Amino acid sequence: MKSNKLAGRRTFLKGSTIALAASGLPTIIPSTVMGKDGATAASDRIVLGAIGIGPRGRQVLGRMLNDKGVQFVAIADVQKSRREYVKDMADGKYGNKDCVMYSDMFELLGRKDVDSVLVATGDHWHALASILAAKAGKDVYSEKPCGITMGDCQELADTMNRYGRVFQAGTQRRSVGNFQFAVHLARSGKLGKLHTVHASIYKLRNNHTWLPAQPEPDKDICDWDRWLGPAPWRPFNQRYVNGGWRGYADFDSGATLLDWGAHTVDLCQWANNADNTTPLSYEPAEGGSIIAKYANGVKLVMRRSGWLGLGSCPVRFEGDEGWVETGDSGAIKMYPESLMGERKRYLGRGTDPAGHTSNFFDCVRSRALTACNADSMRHSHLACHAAAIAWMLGRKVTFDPKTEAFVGDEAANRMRTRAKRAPWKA
Amino acid sequence: MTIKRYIGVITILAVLTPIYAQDTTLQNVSEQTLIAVLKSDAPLYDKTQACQKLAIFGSEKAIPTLAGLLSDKALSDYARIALEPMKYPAVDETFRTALGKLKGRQLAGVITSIGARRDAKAVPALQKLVSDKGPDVARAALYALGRIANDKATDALLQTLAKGPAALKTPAADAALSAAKIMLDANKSDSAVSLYDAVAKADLPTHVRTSAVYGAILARGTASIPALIKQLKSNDPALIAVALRAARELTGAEVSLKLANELSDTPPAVQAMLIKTLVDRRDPSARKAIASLADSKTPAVRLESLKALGTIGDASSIPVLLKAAGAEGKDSTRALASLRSIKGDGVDAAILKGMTSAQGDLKSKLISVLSDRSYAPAAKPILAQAASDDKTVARAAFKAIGVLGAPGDIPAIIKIMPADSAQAEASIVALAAKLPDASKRADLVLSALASEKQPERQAALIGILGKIGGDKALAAVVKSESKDPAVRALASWPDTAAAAPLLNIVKNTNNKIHRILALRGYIRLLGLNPNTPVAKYAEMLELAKQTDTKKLVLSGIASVANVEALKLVIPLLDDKTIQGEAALAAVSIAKTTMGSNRQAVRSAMEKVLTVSKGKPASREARRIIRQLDALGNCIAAWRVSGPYMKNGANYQALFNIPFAPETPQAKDVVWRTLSAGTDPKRPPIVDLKKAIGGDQRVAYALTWIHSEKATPARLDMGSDDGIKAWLNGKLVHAKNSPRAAIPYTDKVRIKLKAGWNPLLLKITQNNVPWEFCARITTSRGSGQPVPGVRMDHMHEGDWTLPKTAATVTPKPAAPPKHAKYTPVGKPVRIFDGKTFGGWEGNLKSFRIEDGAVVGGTLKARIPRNEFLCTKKQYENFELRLKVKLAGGKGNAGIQIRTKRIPKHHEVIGYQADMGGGYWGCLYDESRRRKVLARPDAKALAKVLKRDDWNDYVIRCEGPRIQLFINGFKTVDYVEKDAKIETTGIIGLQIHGGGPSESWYKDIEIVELKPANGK
Repeated sequence: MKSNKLAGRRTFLKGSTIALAASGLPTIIPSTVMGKDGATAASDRIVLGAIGIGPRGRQVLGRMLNDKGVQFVAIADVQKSRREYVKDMADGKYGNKDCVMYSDMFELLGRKDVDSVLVATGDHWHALASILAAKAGKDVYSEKPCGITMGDCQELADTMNRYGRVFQAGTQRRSVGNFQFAVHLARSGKLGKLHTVHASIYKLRNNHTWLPAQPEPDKDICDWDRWLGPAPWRPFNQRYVNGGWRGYADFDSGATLLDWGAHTVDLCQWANNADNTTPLSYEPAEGGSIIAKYANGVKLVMRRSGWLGLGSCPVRFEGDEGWVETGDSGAIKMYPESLMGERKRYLGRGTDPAGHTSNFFDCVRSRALTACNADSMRHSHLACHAAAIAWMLGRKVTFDPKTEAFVGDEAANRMRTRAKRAPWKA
Repeated sequence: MTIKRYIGVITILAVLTPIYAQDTTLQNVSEQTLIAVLKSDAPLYDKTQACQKLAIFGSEKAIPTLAGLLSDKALSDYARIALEPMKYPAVDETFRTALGKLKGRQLAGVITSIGARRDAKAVPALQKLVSDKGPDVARAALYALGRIANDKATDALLQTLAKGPAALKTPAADAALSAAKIMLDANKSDSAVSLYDAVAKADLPTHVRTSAVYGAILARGTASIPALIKQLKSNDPALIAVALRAARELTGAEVSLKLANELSDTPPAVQAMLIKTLVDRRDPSARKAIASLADSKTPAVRLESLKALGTIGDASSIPVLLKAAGAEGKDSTRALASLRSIKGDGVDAAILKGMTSAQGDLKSKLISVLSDRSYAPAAKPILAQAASDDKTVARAAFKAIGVLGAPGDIPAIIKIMPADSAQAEASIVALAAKLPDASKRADLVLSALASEKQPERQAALIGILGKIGGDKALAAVVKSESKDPAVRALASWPDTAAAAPLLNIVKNTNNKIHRILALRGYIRLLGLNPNTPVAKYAEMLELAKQTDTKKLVLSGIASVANVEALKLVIPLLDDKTIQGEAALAAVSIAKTTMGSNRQAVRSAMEKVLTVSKGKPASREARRIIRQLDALGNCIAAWRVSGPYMKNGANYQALFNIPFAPETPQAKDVVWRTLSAGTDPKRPPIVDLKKAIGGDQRVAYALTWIHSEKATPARLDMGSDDGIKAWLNGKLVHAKNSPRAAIPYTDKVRIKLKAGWNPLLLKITQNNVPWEFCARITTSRGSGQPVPGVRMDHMHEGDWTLPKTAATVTPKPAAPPKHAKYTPVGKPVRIFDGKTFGGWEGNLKSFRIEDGAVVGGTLKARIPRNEFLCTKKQYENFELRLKVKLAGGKGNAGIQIRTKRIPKHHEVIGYQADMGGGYWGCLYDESRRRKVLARPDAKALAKVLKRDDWNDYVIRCEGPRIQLFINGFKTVDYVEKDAKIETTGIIGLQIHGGGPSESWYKDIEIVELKPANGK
């Protein structure tokens, strides 16, 4: 029995700590495992680091900092102001000065004490940062979209599986009550035979322009080469690094379809019990909509308008006996109304990641599959990318979920991947 | 052709939205252009865009040019972006050749691309590159070998693992892991296993080795079960983690069984996780082993086991769960939850058996489990428990029997029920409701009442009758000697049948309590009918002498959906004793009626504010005032009639079926007032679902619009689902489709007569929600109200449709007569395609390309409007030219009969417009600043080429101006204002704003003169 290995490792070692207790050594049993309230012994907390934290990352990290079973220790960000913001946030929360700042994520990933990382960089870095973290033996919570090309998503899922890591895609609506309930209605047959699932999307755009060149800042202030990372080179402009990268095709994904589609298509996939596959055909339609069809006959409609006003990011599931629609406000409408049962309403907001982050940490402890694990992410993201490619090509495309290739469509197939800027690779 | 032209093409491509959504000929036409750009001295940006487009549409022809860029520091990555996804073998050759020529980052990039393409022929070269001094190059080579994953490639990886420098071992292991997975997927599991084993044994960080162990387990399949079990017991957290994951993924019942067999022998914390894993495997073979841990000494394990049985348990798990359900705390909660969810043959019977033999608290909990499981055979045994001395058990049993029992059980329930059992009463009412024939529902209770001697039990039965309702029950209750229960029963009667007897009691009884009970009941029943006249409440207010009874009446008035009720309430706001209730009643009425008399509601709310400062009513009153403001110019009040339906006709069929309001019987239609404003988030919406309800039906809505003078206007609507609109008896709009109501999606131009104009709507209902909204606005504005127009839904007048209204389509007006004009001489080209001769303007904003005038640029914002103008002036003429907007973006146009504003960049005059929704419009630039006339958008869309050349023809004949795009007449406008200049220059515009380009060419003009020779 290699008991020396047990003492320092974290929660998942609960097993081991119990073993130690049984063997008579003094130890503290982590209370979270036992379902009791109270603090977790320091040695059993999950040690967390974060890579690339902007406004959304702060929301997610804020929830993680509230988790008593988690100890956040370090931030890696190529922008000084953002590193310092996160340090202030963490140190303020913990009442100490312990949060370590890195410009280079490899320094963070090289730390053996870090178990998990939150990846909330700009979209073009999500996949690679998550992959590098997995290769460094970390479990990963990555903001969506998890990969800005199909190739990125495939590499990401493959790497997570190869290294046996716990991965949670930041599609937090999978852990929000009203969305879970809507999916439950669809999957349990309460709507009859499901025939159409609707996912909201924004107006798509595909911007290939460059902003005017500005002098590159000092590397310590903002390391532009690192910020670009695997993205094709272009001249520096402050707007990109302030969050203005959104919408630029080199940094964003699928003509921005994944901005919302990563959430809403993901929910539709789940509702259609299709986490391990994708629709087969995708066709642009009127008003910026895209209509996709699954092998089981269910239609996936990605559309911008015609929603019932239940908050942002709405989804709607329709069966031959009823329908349900819900959105970020927590409001939920359905037919027949009796499906609601005794519950009056859901209070959670669709944008709140609290349930999703705690699901992630639970799985880091139990090694169980997360609410949106690498394979679910892979398929819902592939579906989004396929839809975006159909829209960019302005015509119908056919996709084979087995080979993950378009059928007889050279242009579409070429759009699945984009070579990374040297020397970056998956 | 010049390079400049190519760049124009590229830049246009860059801003197309969607950028590639062009016809497939694009790739053929443009590839040559794209290649030429790459060879030229075009700016870097243009070249990067050319590469990104070739990545998608490039053919073999592009390869040599792209190959040349691989060594270009700035473009090497872009060249790889273009080459990497191309299927051609020539690309592989290109990359292999480049290996010998490149260094550093560029070399690493090409190696990575070779890896992405899995080019086996590159292996010998890659093997050598593993020992390259540059760390990027060596790592890239290892990565590529891992991707190629043939035997030679993996040999090289194994060699590096064994003998390579320390820094390359982890990258080599990573490559070996990905190679192993590729081999496994190609059914070469032996090779995969040996790779995994090599990594597992190498001197590497723990997480890399454990990943290999994990891979090896999956590759070996069931043969690895013993190793897997050994790991689970290893106490090495990293190994346990991958073992658990592998345990989840290995397929086969054998795996579940063997893991389950080890369950009792693993450490407790691993047990809990392993139970979860086994549950996820959904394999019943693990059931027994999991059940055996239900009495584990470790609470976490026990709870996990009890939870698991709810999913994978069967009848055999019931004794374990029953035992735990009888325990304390969380064990019991978990077990009961599992007893509710567990499935399988015999499960229900086993739980029933457990219930029968259980005692006390557990018995009552199991009764409720059986009720939640809807297990009907438990009804009789549970009814037997209802006689229990244990009150908790009896209560649970009486409650459950209402769910599980049948109407036939009613006599038995009555027989054993105590006189004060609310559960028993509720169950009897629920069971009676299961009888399809409503007239028989009270029979069993009535016959029990007939033979009942005990007053207390009689009272209970009368109470039950009051909840069941029906004529027989009513008759029995009214004549009952037990006055007290009878009054209570009447007061809670389910329908308005009890209204008359209740009013009788109110007026005649001497018993104060009965009077109040009856009054309360009567008010409640009045509220059940939304059309109860306000006078009835006024009568009650008269009868109510005391403060308490007045309050009661006010609580009833509060639910009246008729703005007239405010008149009853407002005077009471001054009565200090009931002020609070009056204020609440006023806001409650206002909420549902605010649209029907905005002024009355507003002044009522203002009064509420003065008398109930700081109380909840004042907050509501302020909210209602805000909501009144938000109603804007929506038509906020309607007379509504419906529902109308027809057997077998769904909402789409109903759309075309004329019901009473559309027919000669229209005058007999019963209307009720309905107001907008009930949904704070969408003020204009009128909610038919709440007011009428139901599915597959239609409703009609009527209002009157008064206009001071005849005027054009627009009727904006939104509906859920379909909608038809008749104005002055004429059909002006019809949309038959299922949809959500979004305010003002439908817009139709209408003409209002001076005086009253009836507006009738028909709204169809598929299923929830059911709603609509409408407003009258100026005919061309963005929703502004029309001056001098007001609505009154209560106006009286003839609104009925003429017999043929549904089918009448308005006749087109006779075309006006215009003077004829004929050409003077032949057409003249006024732009020579090369110089700006004859033109003047800010030449910074205009250039000549390919024989065309180009205004603006795609590379920068356009700071302001600019015009390139003829020096010559024209009056009557036909101007022909070709125009386009690059990428379909931006705005521009052709000025005619225009004057320059002195020392200013702007001009004054008519503009034949281009761009967005302005194509083909006649706009008055800097003068009236509005669109004077516009084409029908749908018809225009058929001919317009948004991002290509269009033929634009402008014909000016005296006051008449006609515009044509690609032969389609977009505008035929006659100027009525004689003061407007008819002579002026011609100007080509680029509009200020985002980057855009307007192109004009082949500009020719022929002057015209009136045909009568003037």
